[in-house]
Amino acid sequence: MILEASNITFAYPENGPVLSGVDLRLEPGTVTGLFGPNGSGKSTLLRCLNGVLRPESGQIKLAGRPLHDFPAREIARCVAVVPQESRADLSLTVQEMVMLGRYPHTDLWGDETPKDRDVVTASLAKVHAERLTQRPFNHLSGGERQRVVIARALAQEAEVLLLDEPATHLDIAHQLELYQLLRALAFQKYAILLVSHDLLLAPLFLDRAVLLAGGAVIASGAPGEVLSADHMHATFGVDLVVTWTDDLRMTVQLPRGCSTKRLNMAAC
Amino acid sequence: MRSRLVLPGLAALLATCCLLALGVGSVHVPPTETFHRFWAALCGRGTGDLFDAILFQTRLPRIILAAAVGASLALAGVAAQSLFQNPLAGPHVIGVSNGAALGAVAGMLIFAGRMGDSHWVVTLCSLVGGIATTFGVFVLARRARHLGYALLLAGIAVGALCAALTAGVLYLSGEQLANIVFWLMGGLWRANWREVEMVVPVLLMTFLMLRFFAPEMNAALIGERSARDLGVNVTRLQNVLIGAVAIPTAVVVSLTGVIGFIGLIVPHLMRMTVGEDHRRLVPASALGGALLLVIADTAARTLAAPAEVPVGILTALIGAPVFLWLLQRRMNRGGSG
Repeated sequence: MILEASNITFAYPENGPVLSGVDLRLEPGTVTGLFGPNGSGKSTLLRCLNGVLRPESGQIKLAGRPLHDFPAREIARCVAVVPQESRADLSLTVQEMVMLGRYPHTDLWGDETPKDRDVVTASLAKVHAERLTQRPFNHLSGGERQRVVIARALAQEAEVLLLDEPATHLDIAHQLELYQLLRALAFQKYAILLVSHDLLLAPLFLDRAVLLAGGAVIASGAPGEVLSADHMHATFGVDLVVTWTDDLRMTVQLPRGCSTKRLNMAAC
Repeated sequence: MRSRLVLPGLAALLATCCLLALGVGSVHVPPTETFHRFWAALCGRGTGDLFDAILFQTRLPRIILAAAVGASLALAGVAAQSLFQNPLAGPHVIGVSNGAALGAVAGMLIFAGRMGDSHWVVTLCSLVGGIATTFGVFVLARRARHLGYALLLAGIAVGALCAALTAGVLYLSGEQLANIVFWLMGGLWRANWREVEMVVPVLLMTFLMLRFFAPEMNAALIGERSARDLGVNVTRLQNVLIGAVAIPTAVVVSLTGVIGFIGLIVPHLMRMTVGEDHRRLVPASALGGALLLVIADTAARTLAAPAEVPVGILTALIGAPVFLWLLQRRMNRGGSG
């Protein structure tokens, strides 16, 4: 299923334009990274892509049909969102939490069917969280919670996944685990959009990258080209040079004049 | 598995309590005889003697009214807690009971004696007060960053304002003062079949509405934004919940005065028993609320017999310490409300 935005603009009444002339195409089997400084419109774009916000102009198409022709529940059956933060105080069990992802598929009274239960079990298996099934959500670690939230999105059986900075509160091990999970899902023909501030690790796992600044697309294409030194300077105002190689090596050159005193001390 | 037994268990307990309550009072009727008379009346073989009159014309409507009022208030509490995403919300805590009481008192004074049957007008005034308060508190609380604290503060402020206005109206009430003050304390002593006929349809409507929207309320547990992502029409859900808080509360307040805290403690206790899933929480709260008020009202009419303690005093005496306990528990866990 292809989700495509063409030349969309969006403005909040109180804040003025947030997106202007944005093009984006998400294809099955690919992981696309969406980068940009704070306030560049990444989250707004994501909410336009799942139909919660309606662009002022331009068009978003899902499988060739205008997105706003779909009822909200039908969009949720095709496009799932993993939010930046989830309520950590819910005492729902993991099973119940993932079952919420079946909402777009439920009947009038919300009764669970054997298929719902099978999909929930399969979704938990995809994120390797089967053993958590009966644990209360509020007893999980940050990494476990994020996996459960992804399982909830998978339970929607949507073919397009939009993830809004999912690695923000994760340690390095859980970040790597998350990115590998996204690659595995892309292998299963999901179309994935990863909104991220991680300019170092995340690009290693992407097929494409899109750089957004001031609500407009600055560059899109291969991650190494999009996140070039020039684009970094123009978008973030820092002279950061990162290079990635095909054998999963990465070098980082910090901006000139950036103090590394603490690093040197640690090395001693 | 345990939670599956809760609903039949509560239903059985409620039926037993109702039957026992039927026999309790100034004229004591043993449970077995109560059961036999009840069964005979159900089969159309009632004797129609004095005992039957006491059981079925005086006590039965009161017990059914108590159960219906308790269930309605508990359901209003479930709706309030879902609307504000806060387990400390309840029709009393967020000031809706006070708003409905203000409407009802104003209605009583304005229309008393002017219309033949003024009770529907009083209920209507109570509805206006209840809906306006729920909506007002919701709008005020939503503007704040932390909905939980804002809700409690807005509820306290609006509730206090309504209480002050009620006091002002009472000051002007002249010779009706004593009656209205006694009514305000909350009680079921005026119970009759007509009041049962008013509350039961509202209860059924509220129950069906909340059960119908239970999947949406479940989805809303993960936050307004995520619920929208799942395809929930959040605005429609919030409008339904405002109605489900205000309508049963207002109808009940107009008939029985202010019976506080049932809408707060019952959903909370039921949540601890059956979990957060509203498909179970809604029926469990209805049964729990009915059970609590049947017990409290039986105590209210027997503790100081032949006099009667307003049941609102009893529920507040139980509810206020439980509320403080819940607040403390929440603060200890570092919840933001």
